[in-house]
Amino acid sequence: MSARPTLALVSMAGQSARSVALLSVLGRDVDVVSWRRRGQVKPDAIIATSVEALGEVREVDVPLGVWVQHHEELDHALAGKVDVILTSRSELVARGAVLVPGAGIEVDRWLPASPLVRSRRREARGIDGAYIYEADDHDGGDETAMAMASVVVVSGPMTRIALALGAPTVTSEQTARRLRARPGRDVEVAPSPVEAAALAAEIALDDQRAAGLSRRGRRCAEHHMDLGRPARVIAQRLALSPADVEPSDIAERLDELRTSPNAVIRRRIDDGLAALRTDR
Amino acid sequence: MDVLVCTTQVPFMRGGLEMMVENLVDALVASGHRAEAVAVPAAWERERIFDAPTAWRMLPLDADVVIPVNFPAYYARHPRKILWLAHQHRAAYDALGQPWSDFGLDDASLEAHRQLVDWDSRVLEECLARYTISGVVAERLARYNGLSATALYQPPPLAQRLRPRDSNRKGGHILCPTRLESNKRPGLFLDGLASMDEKVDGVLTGTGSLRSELEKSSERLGLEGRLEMAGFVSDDALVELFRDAIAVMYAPYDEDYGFVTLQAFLAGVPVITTDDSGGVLEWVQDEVTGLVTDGSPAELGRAMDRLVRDPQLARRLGEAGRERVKDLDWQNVVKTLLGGTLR
Repeated sequence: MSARPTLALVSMAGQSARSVALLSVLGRDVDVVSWRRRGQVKPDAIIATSVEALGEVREVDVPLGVWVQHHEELDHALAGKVDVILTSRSELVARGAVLVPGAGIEVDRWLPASPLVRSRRREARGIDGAYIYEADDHDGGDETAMAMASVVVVSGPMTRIALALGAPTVTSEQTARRLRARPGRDVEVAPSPVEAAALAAEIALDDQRAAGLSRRGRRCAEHHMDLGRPARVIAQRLALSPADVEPSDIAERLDELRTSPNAVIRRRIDDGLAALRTDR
Repeated sequence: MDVLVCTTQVPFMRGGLEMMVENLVDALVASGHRAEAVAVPAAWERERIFDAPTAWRMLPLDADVVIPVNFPAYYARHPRKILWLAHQHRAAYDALGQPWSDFGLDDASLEAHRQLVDWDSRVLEECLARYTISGVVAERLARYNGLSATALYQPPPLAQRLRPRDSNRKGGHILCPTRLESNKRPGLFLDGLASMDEKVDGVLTGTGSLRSELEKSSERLGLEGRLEMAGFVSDDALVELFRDAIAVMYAPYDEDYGFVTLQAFLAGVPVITTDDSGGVLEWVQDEVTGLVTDGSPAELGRAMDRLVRDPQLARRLGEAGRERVKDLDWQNVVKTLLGGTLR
């Protein structure tokens, strides 16, 4: 029998798609089942994909979350005393909803690298000078190439990965709009592949412009595309993560700097504090 | 207002940065603020490079404003953080590839480097305002971290005491005041002196690890009797050496700022430098406030000869230099740094 908590999803026809990306992140630490196909499994928490779907689980006494699309639904959810309200509409955040980006990824899975670090990575691989990587829509893009490229030319869903990796990015106007990336700030946009290539070559020669695009592109991913942080908040509010493990101040500070879980500094801090632990 | 100037302690060392911090604290106090410096030691080798930044994130800094001036002091966590940056950890930036940089191309180095640049960018983004001690430092911040900053210049140490000599008195030597370390390139001064046609004296002040090597070079280049290696000199002696100089030669590699240039200008003395001296070139404009060379012994020697042979030229360049720096003052530095917080 699994020691992991179980989360059930209750969904109306055509609504489950909005939860897939979030559930894939939550699913790393919890088992996810369909409410209607749960069999004998008793879930530890439930997420309903709409206020309408919430009706099916009103009587169940476990923490409850619900997706809402507008203010009226949010009013309804609040009246129903749910534990967490999920939304993809930023205007509802001020009323307590947790923003779950529609086209989200777990941004911290990709470590950002500035153009300076990218040039060192290329040097380590014996690649001289600038390297412009044009991602192919069909193969989905090569993350290793995107992690060391001077500039990445990409459109569609892989653009999120390029931005998370801190790659100076040239994309289409449509992709920029969809991802809420600001042209000229977070990304550069070009109307055609030929113009995109020319723009990428220009950026590769301009250190300051590339560094600015890299930094702001990553922040854009963190602010508009991240599923990792909302997933942690949702798991806590649904009591799916241990409540008695409060992060220490120092861990909070490291998280604030989005420090990788494997960073050497975390081990050094553990070593440094080991002698002070009373439970040794 | 209570202001903490945040800096890094390097035990047993005192240089330009320490003087800058002391002068800033004094200027803040003179402007009616309560001010003190907070210094935390740091380790520089790669394995321990994140220790001091992490410590800064945890420190309670109870003040109205904090002003960090260098790595890792800018990791100070405060809602009103105003950066006045002298330098980052140069081994991870402009000095990558130098023999003393321990950021190599192995996986551990590349990851530490990636994390350092990412952390730096995040904590520098937190600042209410970003200033740097020179345009060169601002340019590095833009190039490596994609962050904008404004250069805010300060007067050099001894600014109140440096004056041009009496117009009837002629200068007697060429001066090179610098630490005797490789990034300061004191050897170029010896090379230039040896290439001169005019046999004027040279005075090299300062201490450092290159001293014995330079003594050998002096002998090899036949500079005995012409070159005085004065070592450490008092402030009084330095003021006199500036005043009596025909020219100052100052040619460090990619200097952050370079107090020496400003001190020479305040003394009305032109500066000879090289075209790769970084912040020095924000002040030395070729044929206007000094002479910019390619750094070859022949060019340096020719520049020195020109100023020895043409006192009118030396005076004109020196006066133009003084004009460039005469308005630098600490009150302006304080007003600019705290300006945003007073609104």
